[in-house]
Amino acid sequence: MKINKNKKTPINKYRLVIASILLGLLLASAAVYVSVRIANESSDQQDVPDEERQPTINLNPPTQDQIDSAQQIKEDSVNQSETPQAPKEELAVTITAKNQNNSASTLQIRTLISSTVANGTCTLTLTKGDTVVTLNAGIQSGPSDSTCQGFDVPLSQLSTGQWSIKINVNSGSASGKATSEVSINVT
Amino acid sequence: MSLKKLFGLIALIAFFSVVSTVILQPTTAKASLANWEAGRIIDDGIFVNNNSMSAAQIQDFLNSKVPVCDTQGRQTSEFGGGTRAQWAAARGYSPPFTCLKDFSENGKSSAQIIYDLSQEFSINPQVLIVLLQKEQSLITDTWPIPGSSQYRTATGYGCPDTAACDSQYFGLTNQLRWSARMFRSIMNASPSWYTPYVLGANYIRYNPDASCGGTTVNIQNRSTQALYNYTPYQPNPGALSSGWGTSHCGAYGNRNFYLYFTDWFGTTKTPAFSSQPTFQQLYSDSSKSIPLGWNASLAAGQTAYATVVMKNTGNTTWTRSGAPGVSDTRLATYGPWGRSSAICETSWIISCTRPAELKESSVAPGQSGTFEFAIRAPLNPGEYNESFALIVDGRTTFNGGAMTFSIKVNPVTFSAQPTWQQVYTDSSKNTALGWNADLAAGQTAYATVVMKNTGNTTWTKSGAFGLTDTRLVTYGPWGKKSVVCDPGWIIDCTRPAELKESSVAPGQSGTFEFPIRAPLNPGKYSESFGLVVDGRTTFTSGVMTFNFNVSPVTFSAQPTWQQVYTDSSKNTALGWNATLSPNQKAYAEVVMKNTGNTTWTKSGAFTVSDTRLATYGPWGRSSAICETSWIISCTRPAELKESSVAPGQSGTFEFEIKAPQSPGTYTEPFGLVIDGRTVFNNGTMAFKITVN
Repeated sequence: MKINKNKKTPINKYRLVIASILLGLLLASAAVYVSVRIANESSDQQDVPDEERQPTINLNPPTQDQIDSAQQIKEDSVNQSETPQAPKEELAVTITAKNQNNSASTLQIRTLISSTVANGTCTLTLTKGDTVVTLNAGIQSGPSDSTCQGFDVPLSQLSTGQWSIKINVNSGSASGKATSEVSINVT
Repeated sequence: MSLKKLFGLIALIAFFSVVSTVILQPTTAKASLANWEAGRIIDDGIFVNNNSMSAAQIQDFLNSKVPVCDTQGRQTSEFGGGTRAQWAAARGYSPPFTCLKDFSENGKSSAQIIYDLSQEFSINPQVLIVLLQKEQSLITDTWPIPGSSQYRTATGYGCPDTAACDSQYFGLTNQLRWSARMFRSIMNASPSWYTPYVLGANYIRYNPDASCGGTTVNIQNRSTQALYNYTPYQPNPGALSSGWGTSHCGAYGNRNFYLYFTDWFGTTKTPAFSSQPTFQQLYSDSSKSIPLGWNASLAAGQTAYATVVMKNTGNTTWTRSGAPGVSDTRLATYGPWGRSSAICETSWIISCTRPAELKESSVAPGQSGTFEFAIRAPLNPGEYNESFALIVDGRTTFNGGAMTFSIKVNPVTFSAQPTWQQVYTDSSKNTALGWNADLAAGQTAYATVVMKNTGNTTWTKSGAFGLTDTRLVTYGPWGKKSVVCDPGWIIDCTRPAELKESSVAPGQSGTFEFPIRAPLNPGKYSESFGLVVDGRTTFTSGVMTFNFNVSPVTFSAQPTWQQVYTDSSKNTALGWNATLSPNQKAYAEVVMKNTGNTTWTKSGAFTVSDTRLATYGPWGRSSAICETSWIISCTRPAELKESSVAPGQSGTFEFEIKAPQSPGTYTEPFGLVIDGRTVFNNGTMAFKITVN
């Protein structure tokens, strides 16, 4: 018996040491988990309405997502050819707004020209039956696109009903057009 | 449980807990697009908040995003082709690669450039920072290439698709300036700046390729309109669900703007009602010409005038309708809300909790509103911190924007320093007699005293017995009866004058004006005066003294002119010695020069200097040429024509005469008299009238 006891004692001590280490590891893991969850919950504002968030200045280094996104922009920018592209013959024109503004008594028509053109002419033609209203405007270039310098059509020139909209854009040898319709209700 | 089983159980739990900890811990914090609104990417209040960062804070931010700059391009290129320097060399560029945090242009750092332009155009510098990142990655790039388009067209402004980039837009400063100018033009709704989109319904495409489609977006504010003017596309559902990634037909400019802004600077949305204090000042006067500062020292009970300016950092226009409208904005006591203020003044709009309503009729987001109100320092000396914030009564209190006046209330001190004193002969104060004036006995003169307020309390003149109503008072002792008292004094013979000005703040000077009358007994007199707030205190300093040398009265005259006329308009003169028919009426005029030391007067009553022409030889003789219009029977033909005749001046006496019925020669002498006081000791004259 003594022998057996003598043989078992070192093994039990060894197992107790291992068990203690595992228990410590368990407690440490639990502590890390709890702290991470608390930290995440305090910083996670995804469920908080924007208006209730507080302004801040994030002084952390950029995230990998931000770095990856930025690298693509940089590569495109630096690789961008210094030579002008061949002049476009066709301009993509979109009618972006065709709103009846009763407070200003106008029909607001806005356009997006998906190229940056410095000058040219926009011609708006509104048609309803035999009635045709035509307005001309210049072109204004923006940072990466252009727009017609108009149009605010007085409602006094229009009547109630469905009007067709046609916009022709000419800039040098390039041109483009867009069509749409708008319902006008003049009281 | 055996030790072996216990050991196994612990090992199992430990294994799963470690694994779960590793699995459940997020690898990276993802920016969220959950609150993305295509029609409201950012609110105006944030877009124009140019006070969000100082130049130093911008520099710190730039430093944080590039901890180490690879200036020589020694690291491996992310795009292949060897090192970064080698990759750049293949495209014609060479180091050094200057990171934005180290970049300068025209001697100005990039942080300073961003800050200055944000101030010039009143655009949030954070907007400009995000713009630089989303267009050219300049904020996070550790090896930006100065010679490339990265800096040259840093915000992507002015690069037509159909031509080379326009060199007039080149350069970091230039690019930021054009961008900020465009943003400001749109925020101001400039009629000369056309945009593809308007407030309200707009069709916004997903991509430059029209076939990718788009939707109608209700653009809710100018700053969102401005962003779409920069990048005229909205992210499609694929771009929104891919976080920072890409998708088919996607466009990412506005999405990335939102992601960068919210990750770096927080929300892009403002509360409906929020404010930021931008100015506060206390003044000692209601016209606000004398500032007292923010942390003002006031005397107990002192009235001061406050101005508070708040910037509208919410998304709702503040109004002042005069009624409790849904956006009528007032300043309210804060800490807690509606606290009764210790510096309350009677003019506050609602008891002691609402000092002021908005001064302007309306204040849009991004603009500043003014609140003006009076305060009264508490009577108990001490330090008072009075906080205020904005409120729309019946609707909401404001989110943030409280400000505090720190007021130190000192015990009241009333003190003065005489700075000017003068005695004049006339009430209009044209003729000065000096400080130590020579006066004739009984002479009226006019005094002016100027005192500088060297205390800490504003003097006032309310017309009643106010707590700070300041008066001149006789001194030596206080309130003694003055020997130069005049009926014009405000309180018997002890208070010659009240303050001329309505109020005199500390450091200013107040004026006291009052008449004096020289004593009738000749001699030297010293009359001292100080200041008093009746019912409260005498002043601790500021006594001044007038010295008067009162001479005996001398009344004397010298005849300088006499004439008899046939008509009252005095066109036909008969000479001094006139010949008249019996009972003929004529008109006499006598001019006498005042050779005495006392001003002659004509009060219409019997005052001590009212001077009249009287029959002489003897005095009061009944005249033979008396006419019914004489002022006193046949002894006083006339009073002085002028209202007063000072020594050295000449006085006129005009009167009718009637020739006696009996022919003969009549000599009629006259002299001057002050009835009830004296006859003149010289200055007699005579008319010699011959009656045919």
